[in-house]
Amino acid sequence: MSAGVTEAPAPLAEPAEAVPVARRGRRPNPRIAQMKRTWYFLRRNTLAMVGIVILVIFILIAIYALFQPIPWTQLQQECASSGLYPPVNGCLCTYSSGTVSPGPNCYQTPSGYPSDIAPTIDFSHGTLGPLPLGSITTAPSNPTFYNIYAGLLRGSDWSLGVSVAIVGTGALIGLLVGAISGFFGGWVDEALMRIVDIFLSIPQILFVIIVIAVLVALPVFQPFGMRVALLIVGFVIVWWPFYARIVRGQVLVVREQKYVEAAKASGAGGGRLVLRHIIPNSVYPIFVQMSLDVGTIPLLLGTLVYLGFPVFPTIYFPEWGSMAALSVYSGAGASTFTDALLTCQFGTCVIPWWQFLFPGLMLFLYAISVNFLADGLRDALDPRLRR
Amino acid sequence: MSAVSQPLRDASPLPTEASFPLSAPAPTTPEPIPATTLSSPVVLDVRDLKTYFFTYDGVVLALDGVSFKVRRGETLGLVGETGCGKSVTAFSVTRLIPDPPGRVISGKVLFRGIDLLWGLDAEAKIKINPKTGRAKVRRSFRRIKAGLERMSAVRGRGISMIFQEPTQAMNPVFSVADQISEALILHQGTHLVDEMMSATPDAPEVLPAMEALVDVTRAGGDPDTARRAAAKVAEAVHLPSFGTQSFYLVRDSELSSEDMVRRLQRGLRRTYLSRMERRYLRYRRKRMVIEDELHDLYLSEMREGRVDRRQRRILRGRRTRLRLGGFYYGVWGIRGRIQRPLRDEAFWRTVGRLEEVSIANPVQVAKGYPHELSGGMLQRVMITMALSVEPTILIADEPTTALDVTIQAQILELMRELKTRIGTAILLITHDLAVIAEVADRVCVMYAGQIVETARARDLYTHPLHPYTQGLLASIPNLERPDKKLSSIPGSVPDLIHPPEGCRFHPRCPYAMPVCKEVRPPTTVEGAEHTVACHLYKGTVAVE
Amino acid sequence: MFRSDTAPALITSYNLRKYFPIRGGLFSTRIGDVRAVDGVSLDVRESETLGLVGESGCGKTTVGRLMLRLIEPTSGHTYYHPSPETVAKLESLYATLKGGVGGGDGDGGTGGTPEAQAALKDLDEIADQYSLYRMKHSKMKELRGKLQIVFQDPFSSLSPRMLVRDIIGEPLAIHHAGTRSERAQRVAELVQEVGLNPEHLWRFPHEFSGGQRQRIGIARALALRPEFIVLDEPTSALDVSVQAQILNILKKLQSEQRLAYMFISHHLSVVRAMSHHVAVMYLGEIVERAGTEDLFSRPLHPYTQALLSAIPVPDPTLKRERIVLKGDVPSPAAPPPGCRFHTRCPAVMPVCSHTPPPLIEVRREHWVACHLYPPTGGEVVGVPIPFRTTAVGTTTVPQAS
Repeated sequence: MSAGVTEAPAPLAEPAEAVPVARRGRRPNPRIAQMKRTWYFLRRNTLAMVGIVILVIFILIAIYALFQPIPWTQLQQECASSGLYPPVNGCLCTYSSGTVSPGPNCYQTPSGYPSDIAPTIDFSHGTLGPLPLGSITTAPSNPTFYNIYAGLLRGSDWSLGVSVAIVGTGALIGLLVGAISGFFGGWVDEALMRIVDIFLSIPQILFVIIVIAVLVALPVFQPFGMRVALLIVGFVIVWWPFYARIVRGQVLVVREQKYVEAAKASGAGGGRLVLRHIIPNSVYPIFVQMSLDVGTIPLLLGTLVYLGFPVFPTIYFPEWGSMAALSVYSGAGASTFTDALLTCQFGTCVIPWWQFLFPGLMLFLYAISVNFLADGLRDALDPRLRR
Repeated sequence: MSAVSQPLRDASPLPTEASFPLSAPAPTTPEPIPATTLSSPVVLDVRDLKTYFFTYDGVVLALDGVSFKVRRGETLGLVGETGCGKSVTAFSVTRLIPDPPGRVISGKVLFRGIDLLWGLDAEAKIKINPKTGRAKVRRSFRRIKAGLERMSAVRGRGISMIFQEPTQAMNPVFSVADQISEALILHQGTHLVDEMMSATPDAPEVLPAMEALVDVTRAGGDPDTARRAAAKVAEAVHLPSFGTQSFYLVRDSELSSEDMVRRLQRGLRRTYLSRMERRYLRYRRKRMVIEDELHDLYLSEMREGRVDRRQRRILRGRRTRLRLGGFYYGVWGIRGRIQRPLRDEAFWRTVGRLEEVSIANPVQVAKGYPHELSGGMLQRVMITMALSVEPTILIADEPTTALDVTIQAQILELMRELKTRIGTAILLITHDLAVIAEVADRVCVMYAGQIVETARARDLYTHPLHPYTQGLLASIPNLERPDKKLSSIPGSVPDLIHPPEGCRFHPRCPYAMPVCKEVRPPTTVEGAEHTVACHLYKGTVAVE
Repeated sequence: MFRSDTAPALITSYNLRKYFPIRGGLFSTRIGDVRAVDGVSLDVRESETLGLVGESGCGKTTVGRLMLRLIEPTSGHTYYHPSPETVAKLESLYATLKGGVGGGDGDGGTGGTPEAQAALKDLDEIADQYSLYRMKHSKMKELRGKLQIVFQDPFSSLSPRMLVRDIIGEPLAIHHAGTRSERAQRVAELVQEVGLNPEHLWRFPHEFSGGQRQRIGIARALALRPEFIVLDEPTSALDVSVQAQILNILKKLQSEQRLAYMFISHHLSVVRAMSHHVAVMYLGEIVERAGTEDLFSRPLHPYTQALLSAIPVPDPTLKRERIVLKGDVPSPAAPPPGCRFHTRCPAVMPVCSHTPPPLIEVRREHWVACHLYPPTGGEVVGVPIPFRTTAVGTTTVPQAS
């Protein structure tokens, strides 16, 4: 392992063309070595590992959900409140305490609950077991059951997908704006940063609410896909400034580095400098922020729906936030949380805990696992904390 | 081939033009060491210090058995290139190595008879995975914390340090005076308080002394006479820092004599302590005394090698009770106000110290902030802070590397002067052989975590024995002899994760022999206070 | 080492000035200027090295960048490969202006005699034709290959996310020099010239030591076969033995490829080993300029003398009497009036505080800007060197009392 005594440098025996051809085969890829090193540091951080494990589970759930025949526009199942025996489409038959069971495998609603809410603990029923059913009653004679389990599955798909779309687009826009602003400086910088300030001053959820409230009535936004697009665009509009700020800060540092000056000395123009030197070196802080945001956005989406905004075409939309929102049963046909609260009467207002606990738990675990992972990534990537 | 994770080193250097000066090796018969050179007591005795860093790429054997001695009042230079471990040595001595990833593995560091590394083995257990080369370290943080607390008795008082980048060594949000005062109050608080409490502003000699000072200042002329007059005022008040204060108060010569005297008397007001302030000062003094006793306890623990739990409990209990009692002062005296006398006293002492290092406007500098000062001034301030507590040994880690040549000259003059005035021992760490030649009495040359040669300064430069030393000296462009070709040592510093076997320098050594590849050379004595670790020399092995 | 001065000039600068505005106040208005470079004229001759010495803050780095047009000057011109006629014309034009080259107003001064106005117009015409700063960007881009720079800090001058082969090959890629395989071959050649292995090409910069990184920087500078390289403190961040290696490489390359260097440094001993001519800067102005041997054996300006005396001697048997300057370097935003050095000069005279001394040639190829050497001519012997190195007795370990 000695460093070698004085010897003449090895002459380049092979012809020049052999150099690019033979490269990948013989030499280990240095970028893979960097990734291995990052992984090593992540492994030693218990919180990050917990986050990774939970996230992997979520991703597996999302993949599994992709292959389930759950229609993702609505999950309502219409069932009669009683008398359906044998159960159809996973519906249950229920009867309230005091009345007689219409048949085997029918569930008695617990006392205090109206006759059309029934938690199932029977895992063998229905095609979509194992979590309890939630219910939203629009009319006492026509209860509809809501499959929480299906909702959780589908919701994971949806939440992940939308948040990645929002974060990706927002980061891209923010990266471009931040890089241009930081690199050119002067009045370009000032102008762009004032624009960023304007956007930052908009309260996020309020803006999305307004956008949706105003535009959702337009006929172009009736189809569900367009509404989703509207939602995404609304979020991106309020989200990209954060990234622009972060990138600009980093670009200001990178711009002063000597290698940028060296490239300029070799004649590199602005475009080449930005693309090849500045952006690759400024992109680091965004990664951490992106992973944090991927965890935060489903929370915000859930908040939106919880507040009752007509984001979705139906109230049975399988999104974690909306499922949690619709968990208040007031007996008077309320379809949103706010309505239900307003019409809540003592004695008839019940909140089935299983209906908001599970979606809420999913949201919580998702957000916190992403946070752990982002923290761990940041520690692992930071060269100063290298151990 | 673990080429991926192993940083590459220079495998194919250019052929060199000139070889090292081919001086004959020193005579092989060692001279007897005269006993008279060992007259000063040894203040720092480092024996076989080993420090390793446990990283992703493997275990870095940063220090592999480093030994040296520093005597009272002498300046020892520690020379080596980047990566040879000299800063690591300094940090190991004061236990400032960042604990993951580094640890001092073994060795003895005796500071005035106290083993600073006591309790090291109990702190961590290390298992090395032979396959990957990485190690698993299980640490007991409780013990590590206890060890660090013990070190607080020594750091800053017995051993103080100054660092390389003066612009980054000070806290930018506090003024210079605040930071130096902090050190002064921490280490010499009892003297401060005693002097403050024994000030006599009402003595009859005060007023005539002040008038004399004013007359001298108005007459203009020599600032030294003014200083002497100010010193007389200080004597009259029995408060030395008031001398500094009065000197600066009257320097503004546009005022009339009465105004100046009035100004002096206003300045004297700070020596009148209210009852509340006296009580507070007494309380502070009690706390300082407790801290001193705790520190003495730690020192004796390290000296005897055992923990005295009972005494600790007693002292800590007293400290806690005092602290709780001190809330009273926080409640009463809007704390800033009640601390004002102490802070003022510390401020004027700071100004006095800044004067001693010939800073031109000490009052402005003291009131100002670190970013307002240049690197050279800041380094002087750091030296002040480090020497204000009169430490036994000052460790200077590359103090002049970041400074310009003329400023460096100023700082080196300052260090030489302080050396003779205060008599602190200095451990000077640098890579600049010229700086060492200016200041150091003895020199240790380090290479790749080991000391390869130790000698008196002039012996090292006139008779360098180790081939590495010879190579280093040959590659310095010498202003006096510009035509000498610049020779360089072929190859580059070895990777400390997989250092070369045997002598770590053998891959680059022009005199390498087969034995050098296998056996690490022992440190042998080759002359009066001249030891070298090389197989070329076969003197008697040095006794640790 | 010292060649005759008949080598043709490769790159010449006249009266370079660079002021950085200080912004403050409500609308970031300009409240003052940092005068980083204030009237510097230099010339570098083919295949020779000009050493530029000074302490931090004196503007030498800025001068290097100005000469390569990495930053735009506030005023002044630089000419690359000027023909001898152009040089002669420029010299005569500047001579007619007040103060001559390097002092006084130079170009850009307002008012003055009709001859001065005509001279300014002529200078302007020449500048339009030849000056580096007035070239179009496309023409400038072509020249970039010939004018290169090697930076001080080997750690930040290489992009951390690029492989070494991309770093070295970047100039070639920017100028589309040859086919891809030709470029790869050239990169391999360059790497060999600086003493690295071809397998080093496939690594990232952070895997190398400081000396190796500096070699990579040199290889990058050599990619387009330059004629002039600005070396901005290339060895200040390196250890002594590595420094020697790099300096040897640089010298070898200079003799093989006939490169001209501008070696910027504050280490006088290194500058002496490398340069043919040396210029000393203080606070944005050149205070002395001479051939290397001349400057080091008979330094005329008090600042040069102080600099030389401040260098520590790596030999404890010799002790140098020092000229220790008082105080610190003044801020370049508020330079002292008259001679900028007068606040610290040990030989200060009353005239120094209000009249800036012009840079005049007091001996052959030796310019000084100091009132000690009046421009009226006559034999200048020079102030005898007040610092000497003498042998000292044995040093003793001080005994603590």
